[in-house]
Order: sequence, then C-alpha cells, then structure tokens
Amino acid sequence: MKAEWEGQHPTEGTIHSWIDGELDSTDAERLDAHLAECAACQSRVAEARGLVAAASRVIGSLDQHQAPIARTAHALVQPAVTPVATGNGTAWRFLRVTPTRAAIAAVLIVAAGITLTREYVAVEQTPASDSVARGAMSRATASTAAAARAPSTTAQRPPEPKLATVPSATNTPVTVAEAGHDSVLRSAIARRLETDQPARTIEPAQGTGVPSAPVSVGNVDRMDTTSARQMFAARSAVRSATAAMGASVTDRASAKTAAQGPADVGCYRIDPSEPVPRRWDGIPLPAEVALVGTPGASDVSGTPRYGITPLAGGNLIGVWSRPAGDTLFIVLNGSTVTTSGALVASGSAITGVLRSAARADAAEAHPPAAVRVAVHRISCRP
Amino acid sequence: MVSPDRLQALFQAYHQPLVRFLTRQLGDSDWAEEIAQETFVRALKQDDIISERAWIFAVAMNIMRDDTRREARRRRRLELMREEARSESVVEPGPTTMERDDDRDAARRAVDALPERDRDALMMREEGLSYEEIATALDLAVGSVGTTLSRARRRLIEAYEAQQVRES
Repeated sequence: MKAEWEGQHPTEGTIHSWIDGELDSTDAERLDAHLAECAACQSRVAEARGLVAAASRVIGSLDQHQAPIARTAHALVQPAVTPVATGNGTAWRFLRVTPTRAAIAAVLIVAAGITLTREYVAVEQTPASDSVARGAMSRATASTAAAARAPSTTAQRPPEPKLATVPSATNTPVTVAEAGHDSVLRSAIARRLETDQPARTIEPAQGTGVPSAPVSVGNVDRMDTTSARQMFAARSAVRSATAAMGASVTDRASAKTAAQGPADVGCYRIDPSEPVPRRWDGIPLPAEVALVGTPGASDVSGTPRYGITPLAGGNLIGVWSRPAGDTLFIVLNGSTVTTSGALVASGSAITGVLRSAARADAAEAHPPAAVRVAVHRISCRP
Repeated sequence: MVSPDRLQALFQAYHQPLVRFLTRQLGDSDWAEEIAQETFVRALKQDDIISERAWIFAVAMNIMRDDTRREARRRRRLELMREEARSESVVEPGPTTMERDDDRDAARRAVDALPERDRDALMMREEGLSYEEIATALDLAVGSVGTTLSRARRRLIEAYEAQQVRES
C-alpha cells in the first residue's frame, strides 16, 4: 500500500498500515527513517500499537462462550439454571449489587490496601543517607511530616486514581489517620521486610525509595484477570486516543516534552540476563512491549507513568514510571505472577533487578525470586 | 464449477476463520455455521474463483446481511423475551463468569456500534485478510483500508470505553 503523508508526518492510516505490515517497502523505509528522527510520530506509533492490541482483545472477547439466541429462547421453556429467587428478589437485588458494581468496590478496596501497604513499606525502608531514596520519597515524607503537624491533612489528600487505572508505582502522601492506625498492618509489613531483606538484590543506588515488595496491579479478589487486563488495555488505549484527538502532532510533541522531559513513549525489549524461574510462567521474558498512555500522564504524585502492553499479543500488562531522574520503576503482571523492580538508566541501557511474587488471586503462593534484566529501546516496526 | 478437490481445499483453509468471523458478527455459532455452509455451496457452483479468501468472505457477508434482514424482526422479539426472562429471575453464577459476561456484552455492544464497513474491515483483518483482500471484499480502494482500520479501531475502543463508563 502507498503511504499518505500530512506535510512531513504520516497519516494515522499510514501508521496502521505500517504496523499491519501492509506498507510497500519504499514507503516503509521512508517511514522508518522518519520515525528515527520524529519523537512525535514514535509516540503516535506507540498509541496506534495500543489501539491495535486493545481492539484485537475486545474482538477476541466476543469468542467467549455465548448461548445462541435461538437456544436462549428454548431455555425459556426449559431453563437450564434454577432461579435462586423470584418475586420480591434477594438482598443482593434489593441493594442493586451488579457484577460491575461489585468489581468496582473490590478494585477500590484493593487499591486502598495497596496504597497503604506501599506507604508503610516506603517510609520504613528509607535510609536517611540514601540520596536517591530521599529524592524519590521527598513528596511522601514531606506529606507525612506535614500530616503529623496538621491533623487536617485528610482534606488536602490528592484525588484517588481513577477506577481501573493502575495503582501508582511511586509514593502518595500518607495522612495522619493512615500513619497512626492499623498496627496489625504495620507489624505484618515489618515481618515481610524481615523476610525479604536477606534476599534483596537491588542496590541502594538503584532506587531504594521504591518499595521492594512487588506492587500488584488489578489484583481484584475473584475478579476475572483477563477482563481486568482487557479493561486496562482498552482504557489505556482510549486515554491515548482521546488525548491524541483534537491536538496536532506538534502540540502533542511539545506538550509531552514540557510535561516529562525525555520521551519514554516507544517500544522496548526486556531481556533477562539469567534464566527466568519456572514459576514466572505468567511473565514471558524476554518480552517486547510498547508503552501506552497519554504523554505526560502522571499518578497522584505527579510522576510520569505509562501502561505497558505486549507487542506480540498475550496477557502481559504493566506500568512504567519514573519516580526520580534515571530511576525507572516497572511492574509487570502475568497470569499468576507479579514482578516489579527499580531499574537504572545508564547510557542506552536500563538495567536492574525484577522481583516476583505470586498474584493475590493466584492459586499457589511461593517465595519471591529475583532476575536481573536489561531494557533496550527497539523499533516499533513489526 | 469448482472441482470437489478444490472445494475441499477451500473448506480446509477457510471454514474455521469464516465461522469465527461470522460468529463474532452474529453472536450465534449455529447461525454462523449455516451461513458458512451456504457460502461453500455457492462456491461449488462457481466456475472459477479469483482471490478466493476475499470472495468467500464477501459472499458470506452478503448472505449474512440477507439473513439478518429477514430474521431481524423475529430476533428482536426473542431478545425481548430473553430480557424479560432475565429480569424475572435472579441467578447467582460465580463472579468470574459474570465479569466475563459483562466484558463480552460490552464488546458486543461496542462492535455493534461501529458503522458496518468499519466493523467488516476490522473483523476481516482480525481473521488475517490482507488489505488487498479486504478492499476486494468490501469494494474499497486499497489505499483507504488503513484509514478505515485506524478509524474502526479507535471507534471500537471509544465505544467499549463508553460501555464500561456507563456500566460504572
């Protein structure tokens, strides 16, 4: 197919053609050359990749078993499932608890738990002499100190992340109520730290401000993880797409540069430097991934953050954020395993250690394991 | 007339993707199977088929559209009956199943919200048809397939997101 260009930049249709491998070789080479120099179009390619992957997943979800309409009509005469209640309805019905509402409630509860846990871990782990940690933690500790001085900080608490967005990999302010209560949770975290400490492989300089305990994304009790992934991927793509609409390429590029400095948006390969433990089956490493999300999007503490989506399909999702300077925080979620780590950018490579844990909704728990990885930027070309 | 051997080869190559394509469009695998069989019957009557995958998908879509128009009234009535039955009985399947159903229903509504051409192009691409084959089947210019697909993908995700927000 021949490429179409709007001025110096390819049209969205051309980008999709390129991703689909349908562009003829001459145009593909021209686009390759353009992408090597145009950060804005790299961002558009990453967005388009997110759309392609999300659309594919949405269409794929149509394949889940569905009773044909004709059979459903037949079932009206001979229902396959015995009604549990009729007439006045059950308490669930009275309370209007729908599956979606139940899922929302579960997400909120788990997100709140994760945030609290992360705060406690981060606060208790921060060594006074660690400058990196000080940088990464400055907002949280400042907020905590302010909270200790002024009990009214609850009113200043930043808004919670939207539903189905991925919990932040960085720290959010802790209120007095959170910091002063729940001694059970505090002691549990202390025990966890004691357990984890001997196995720690992340050096202080690699960002100890980031909690070592893997952060779980979308660990919703009894919620279908595939649905959560699809929802996440779709929402990430929509956020990207919505942000992209109505803004010119130039506007988006300058907005991104102003908001986050170095352009993270693009495609990456995550390479383990050692064999990945078998129990990491849910995390297919090495993995080629794209970052999706609104350029400059951030969590409640203002840290630039992106969603991670696999280039070659699959269920892997994750979060990519830069809590401080060259420190990069990655969370990857497989079907049964969550892994996370603070990596350090050095030259063209980003290296560090990812630590794993079983997802909360996994059937089998196991002790954490660690794998050293290198992350390299790659071409988004299929 | 297409030889039985060639028909056999066509069936082997395209039956499964065609049924999946039709099931995604119709939400009814039995119906999809019927249309797929009718498509291959028509293939048997052809003297020759050029660009066979495009031809098969195009014919299947035409049959599907005819069938859909014919069945629309009857199916609307069945849908109403089904909704009525749902509202009168409360079943409590596991939450995983419910979530999956929610997800599938949202996907179905999002797909149905797409303009016909966008939907057809997207579904065909998901079945691996090339841009040229999609252009042939939908009577489009090859150069416009990329634009059609990019628009369809964006609209699909927007519609899907709107469904999720509405349910929330």
